[in-house]
Amino acid sequence: MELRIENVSKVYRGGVSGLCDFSLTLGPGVLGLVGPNGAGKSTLMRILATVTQSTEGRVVWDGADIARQPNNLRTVLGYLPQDFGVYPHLNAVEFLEYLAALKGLDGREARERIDGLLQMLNLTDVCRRPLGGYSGGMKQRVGIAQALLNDPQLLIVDEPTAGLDPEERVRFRNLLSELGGERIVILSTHIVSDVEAAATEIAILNQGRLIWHSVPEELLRAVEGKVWEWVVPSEDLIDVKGRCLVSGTVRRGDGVHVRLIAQTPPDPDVRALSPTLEDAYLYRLSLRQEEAER
Amino acid sequence: MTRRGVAYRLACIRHLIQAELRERVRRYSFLTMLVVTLWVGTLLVPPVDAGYVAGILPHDRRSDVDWYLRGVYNSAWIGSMVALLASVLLSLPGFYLVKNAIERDRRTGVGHILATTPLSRPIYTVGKWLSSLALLGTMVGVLAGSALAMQLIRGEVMRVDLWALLSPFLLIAMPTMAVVAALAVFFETLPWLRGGIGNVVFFFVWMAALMATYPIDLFGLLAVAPQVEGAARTAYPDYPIWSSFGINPTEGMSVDALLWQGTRWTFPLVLQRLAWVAAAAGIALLAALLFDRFDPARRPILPSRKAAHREGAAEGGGSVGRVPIPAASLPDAVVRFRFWRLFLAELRLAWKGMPWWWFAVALGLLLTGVLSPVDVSRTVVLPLSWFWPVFIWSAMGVREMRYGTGEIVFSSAMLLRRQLPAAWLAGVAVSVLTGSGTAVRLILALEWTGLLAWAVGALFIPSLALTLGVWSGNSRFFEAVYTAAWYVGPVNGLPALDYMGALSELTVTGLHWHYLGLTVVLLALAALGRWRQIRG
Repeated sequence: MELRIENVSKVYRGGVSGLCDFSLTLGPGVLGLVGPNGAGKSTLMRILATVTQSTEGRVVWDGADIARQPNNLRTVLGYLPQDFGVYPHLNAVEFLEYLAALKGLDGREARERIDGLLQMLNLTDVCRRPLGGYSGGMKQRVGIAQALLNDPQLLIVDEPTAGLDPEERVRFRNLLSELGGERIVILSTHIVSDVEAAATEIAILNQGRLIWHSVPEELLRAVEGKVWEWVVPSEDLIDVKGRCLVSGTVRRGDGVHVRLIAQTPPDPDVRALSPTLEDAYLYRLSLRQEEAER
Repeated sequence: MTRRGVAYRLACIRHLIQAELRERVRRYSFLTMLVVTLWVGTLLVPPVDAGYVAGILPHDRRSDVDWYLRGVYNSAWIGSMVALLASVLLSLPGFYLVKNAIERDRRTGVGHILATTPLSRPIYTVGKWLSSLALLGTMVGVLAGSALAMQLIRGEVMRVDLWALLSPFLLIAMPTMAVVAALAVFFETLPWLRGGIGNVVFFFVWMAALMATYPIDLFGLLAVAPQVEGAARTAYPDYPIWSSFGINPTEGMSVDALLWQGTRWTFPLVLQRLAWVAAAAGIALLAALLFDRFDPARRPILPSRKAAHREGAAEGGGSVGRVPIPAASLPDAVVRFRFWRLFLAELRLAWKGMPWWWFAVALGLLLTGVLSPVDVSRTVVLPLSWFWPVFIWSAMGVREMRYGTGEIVFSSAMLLRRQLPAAWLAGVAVSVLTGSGTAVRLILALEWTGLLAWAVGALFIPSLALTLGVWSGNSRFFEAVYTAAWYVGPVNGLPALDYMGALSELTVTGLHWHYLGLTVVLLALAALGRWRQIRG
């Protein structure tokens, strides 16, 4: 089981570049794809899901180019797009039955799997209600269920936790970790904590380019000894933000606790902190920005 | 109202028009539309030997005399004729083109943002009316430009009289467009006219307006035709002159030229045309009273929402706190494709959401088809039976776009071989089921040719729906085309459009074979369109 992305670029009509010379090879595990808005994550997801085609390069699934032989991949693909709709007059069971038929799942087994998925995603109680009356989070769970219908070998989920409440979000992260053991899962998000919980590998995209790909530990190592906490009065906060890369602020009784990333301590009173993946991600992006400015 | 208030309202309207126009003109479809309009513009000013004339045709009223007058192609004639044809012919597709201004705000969620601003309902509906009018005005403008070009290309009279050329566009075509744009906004604010029913209703409104030219003259025919007739009678006093309007064949008729200097725009005549603009403004303001301002609570309760209401609010649904089953314990997914299963799923998708009375009427028509005399069953019941499911067919090929399921559906394997045929067969099943009463009656009467024509109709209608749906991405196109074809063909007996074999004498002419061929072409086009969608 291997997904090879070779020098893939995508240029939209009007010359807008969505993705630029992107290469990556993936095996079983969860790849967290992170990057700021407009970085090209959804473009890459759509190319991998065979919804659109790259303008250059190729994507190879188990030896077959997915642009030439998309059905090889489609039969084992689960895809949750960032924005998707549902048929409002169908209920969850009917909607999943329709997609199961489309994916070629056999009747009784499909029905049993649908029941299992509905139970797993806490939708059993509402599965007979028309989807038109579902909340955003419930629709998102139906979307997750459809992506898992055919027990996919490649699962692509684009911003999957959008609209989920905290409990469901935690549950979904756990589910992704569980699924990642025996298949390739690509999780695209700009919520770093989602990646932190589930990803075995991380890829950072910025302006359509891959700027970092590695295991989370390596990303963290790069920022080790560079994360500090500085307690400053409120009126100094703007000045600190101008001077340092700030990854978080908390207001307390003794002032604002600023979490910042810097090569050296910006002040003798700062305290060293253990880095998080979010710190490491911001640091990596800032390095990239500095390189671009140079 | 303070000066500042007036300035705010005017700024709102200006920005509504700007935003709407920018959104529309930056689409490729707008460019396509302009090219088509230009092409139509050239057809409306045909060469002298083209075998047809477009516009008003003064001719001898005696049926045994084949003589007519052809207007000399000066600015007045070309301007008036093209403007009149634009007024009549553009008003029908124009309505379907602009009847989505409010829907787009609703669908994109922009409406909810607008609803939180101080923007009032009348300003919104008037803004939408004017933006739609601006779009239709662009097309009228393109036709005016093409009229000028055609005068120079045909070259009969090279002197250009700009007022004579352009005033008909301003005073004939634009007031009609104003009413069409206002009706589009009005239809969008009424929940039951917002969807497919409104599209069908407008066709009949348009037909009624055309037939009622004498009392109401929406299209401006009476502003021009009597003056053309008057000029013709003065020039040829010995002939009993009559005039007809449209695109008329002139093959084999003798012809004389008529030099016409244009409409004399008297004050009452101008006032009459401007009254339509005022009426349009009134319709747009009336729409403001009905407009729900994107408040979901004021929307009609659909069956789906009714069910949600019955079972309690959907928000927060789901059994929170229950221990979930692990993914590893899920039953295996066994992949074994069954076409009939997908066909049944497509069929369920097609009819799901139709109210019970829809099925009751369909069943009533089916039984009437069986029990009526065979001629009545074919000429009356079958056209009705095959108009009733128009909204089921019009959803074919567009469902993925309308509900945003495209990315999920299009990433499925072998879509062209599986989903497209299944969706088409579901549409065929709808036509077979709804028209089966007549089919049974034809079998009982041993009318095999009629049955063959019926079978071709059953295949042709869903093929047309699927193709137009896939290529246009909306239901309106099929609803408009099908309603017009149904009304002109099976209902009013135009032989060429009898795609269902409703006109008994035609079943022996072999027309159904042409429709069978067309069905094959349409299916190929549908497959091509879907292939383009899948490739992204």
